[in-house]
Amino acid sequence: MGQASSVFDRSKPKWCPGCGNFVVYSCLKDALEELGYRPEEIVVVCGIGCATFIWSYLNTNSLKALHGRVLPAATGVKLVKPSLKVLAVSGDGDAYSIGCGHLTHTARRNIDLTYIVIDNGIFGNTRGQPSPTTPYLSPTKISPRGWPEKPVDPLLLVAVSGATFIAQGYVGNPSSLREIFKKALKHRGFSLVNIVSVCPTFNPKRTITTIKEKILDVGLDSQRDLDEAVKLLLEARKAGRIPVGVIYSRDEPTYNDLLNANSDQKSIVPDLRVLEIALREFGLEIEC
Amino acid sequence: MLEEVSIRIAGLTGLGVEFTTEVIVDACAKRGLHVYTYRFFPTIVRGGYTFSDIRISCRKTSSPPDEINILGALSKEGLRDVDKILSKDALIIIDEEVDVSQSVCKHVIQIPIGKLSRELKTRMNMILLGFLSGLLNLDFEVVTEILRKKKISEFESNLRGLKKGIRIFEESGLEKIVVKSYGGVKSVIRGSDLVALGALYAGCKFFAGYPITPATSIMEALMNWIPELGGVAVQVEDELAAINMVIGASYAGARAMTVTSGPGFSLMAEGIGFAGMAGIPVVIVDVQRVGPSTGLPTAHEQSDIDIATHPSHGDIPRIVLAPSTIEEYYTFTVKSFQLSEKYRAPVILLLDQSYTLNYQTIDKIRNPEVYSYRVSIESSGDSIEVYPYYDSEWVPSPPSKRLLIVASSVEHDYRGFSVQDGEIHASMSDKRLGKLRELEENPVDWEVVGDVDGREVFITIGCCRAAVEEACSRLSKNGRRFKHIPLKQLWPIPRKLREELREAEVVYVVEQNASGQVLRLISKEIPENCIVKSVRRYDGQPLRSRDIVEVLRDGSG
Repeated sequence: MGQASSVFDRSKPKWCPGCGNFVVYSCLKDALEELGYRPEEIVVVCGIGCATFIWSYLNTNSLKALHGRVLPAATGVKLVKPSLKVLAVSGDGDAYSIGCGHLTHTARRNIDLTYIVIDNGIFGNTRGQPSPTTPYLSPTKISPRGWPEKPVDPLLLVAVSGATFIAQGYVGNPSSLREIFKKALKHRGFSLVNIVSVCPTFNPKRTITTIKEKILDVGLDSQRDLDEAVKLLLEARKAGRIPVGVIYSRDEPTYNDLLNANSDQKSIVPDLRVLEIALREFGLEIEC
Repeated sequence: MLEEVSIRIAGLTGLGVEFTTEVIVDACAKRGLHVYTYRFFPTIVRGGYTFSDIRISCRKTSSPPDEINILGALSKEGLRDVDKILSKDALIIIDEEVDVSQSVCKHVIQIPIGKLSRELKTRMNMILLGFLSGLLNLDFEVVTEILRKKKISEFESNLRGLKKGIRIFEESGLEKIVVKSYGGVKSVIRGSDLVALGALYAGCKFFAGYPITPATSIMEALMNWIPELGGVAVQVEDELAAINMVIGASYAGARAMTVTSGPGFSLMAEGIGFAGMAGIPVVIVDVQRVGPSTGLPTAHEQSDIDIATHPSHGDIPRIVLAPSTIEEYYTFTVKSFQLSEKYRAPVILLLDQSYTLNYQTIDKIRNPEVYSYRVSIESSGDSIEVYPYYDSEWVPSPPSKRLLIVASSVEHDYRGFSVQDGEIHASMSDKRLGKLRELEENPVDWEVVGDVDGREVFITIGCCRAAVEEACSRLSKNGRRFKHIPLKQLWPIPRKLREELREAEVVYVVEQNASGQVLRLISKEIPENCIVKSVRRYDGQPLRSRDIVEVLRDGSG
């Protein structure tokens, strides 16, 4: 677990006692250190919600974005500065409710970034409303007779949308989570790491023990093709199991590759090459 | 020789109204004539009523004609509204198969457009183009060359039609209509192209947008040219993604912009607030269309003044500019990028549909002074530090050696660190908004035209400037003295406005929306004892000078 002297420490993390975010934070920090990253070469783009407080505690470049708009903001960073390592961090509300639209599009573009979603099945920051991963028909603060919506399955959703790395971790097994992070960070392309987490304050029924009973270890080295990965996810869902490990990993050209945008942008001000375009296209003379 | 002539090409979408217009405009420009065009088109891609007005003049004109002298109709629908717009001696050229017995116009020339196009296997608009190029004395070689360049695959059949049309004109015995030219060759360009060129000149290296009429043509130009200059341009899933990607790209160091129209602008509102709060420079172009809601997507209106000047919740810094000439479509775009960096505020460029989509001739353009606040900075210390992003006039970006850049949508201190403290919020608010005071004092391209001592004062926005200038120059011959302020900076409101209005007796605020949004915005700047007249046209068409002349003659408003 993280040491106090890490270059990635900015300030002491504050969450409720027993919050799963502590585990995610220290595993992520360890993974970054073990892979030898330096704070300057990393940009953490965060949304809104308890999970995203990581941006305050982790000593890196950071962009605290709008609720639900983490992925577009992170995409903008990566498209113009491919030399940066881009991490996007959300909770399940940020990622799968208000920001769900961007998830499929970012996956199908295969933007080279790692999306870390801490999924505790509840809106914790707003004090306990159901989220898109709250179990079907389970009672909540605002739905005593059971929440009438079926949960989003983020792993299946990104699998059919073209994500090239799909993994799931859980906060009850930090050493596995750390290894999953390392695999995801090393992957070139869009990687989603969904972390099954706990919120003892607002979702006390979900505990490490209740999660542990459902864990299905799928290992860290996936050789599955997409069909096999989807099959695994569907079967796990049917059996009420939580697959943990690397579910799918495949090398494909990234969006930057296809746009031929693999070097960092530098603005040339002014860009005099425009004068040629104006003359060529419109016979227009622009005086300097 | 005439000083000016105005032509309308009308018919249904899909018949080639736009193509015909572009060829005529190009050929006129090559003869050194000034041309202004305005096209009305429906959302229906094929089969809806459309027309295109072409104003050909020996002088620069940038407003639609008051009257049409020649109507070339490609179908019976082309006769719509002719009684409202045709001059008394106007000439109508129309297919012989159309019943024109109800026409109010005396001079109707019927030619076998449909029959010949079937016989010669050519397009109807080519027969009409041939006839008009004979009538307007356009150079045959020049027109042929334009046709060859425009659509090489249909060149042979187009040429057949053109030649036949010219022959029919020659056999008609009509006299040629020749407009005086002072020579030279003019460039033909749309506002959309000028915006794209301006962005590129300023070093814009990132674009993200979502297709929306009437902003798509800027997007298409940028998607073509930005990669040519090594940058990145993307079409994304929606306007929320567009504005937030632009913010991410700008944070990461690239000059970045997005373009949209009213509905997309409404969706971008939260993102614009984010850019203002986080001090990340962005340029947002809003090509206005008829609202509210989906409105009339293809028609002209200036009704986004309210939302552009007040785009998002909270006290956000923002700069709103509305270019008043076609040349300013270029220069204002260039300036937007540096203003956005200097004041750490989103710059919103408010454009008119009519100038953005339609071709006009221009002579040449002078580049404005260009500067950048984007620098690469590194820390001299041994340890890694967080850059004082909100205390600095520079806008560095990651990766910077031993420096971290932190930018945030939540309230923060000078380094970008999250705070809950109300006192810091108060001081950061003052800092964000305080910078704009400089622009209040020294607005972008402030200009007062006409008679600077005039007591009748016009305030116009965007393309209304041209129609008002034309009307004023006509009426000032009768001894009336008009001062005219084309209001180009809508936010912050220039202090000079109040000074310029001090001696005013009558103030006319001319704009194209139903509720008088510009008047509402600036009403506090107008002296109390002055007569205020709100002049508004909001039927989806750009203002014509006769609209102003009528207001001044009636004394109504």
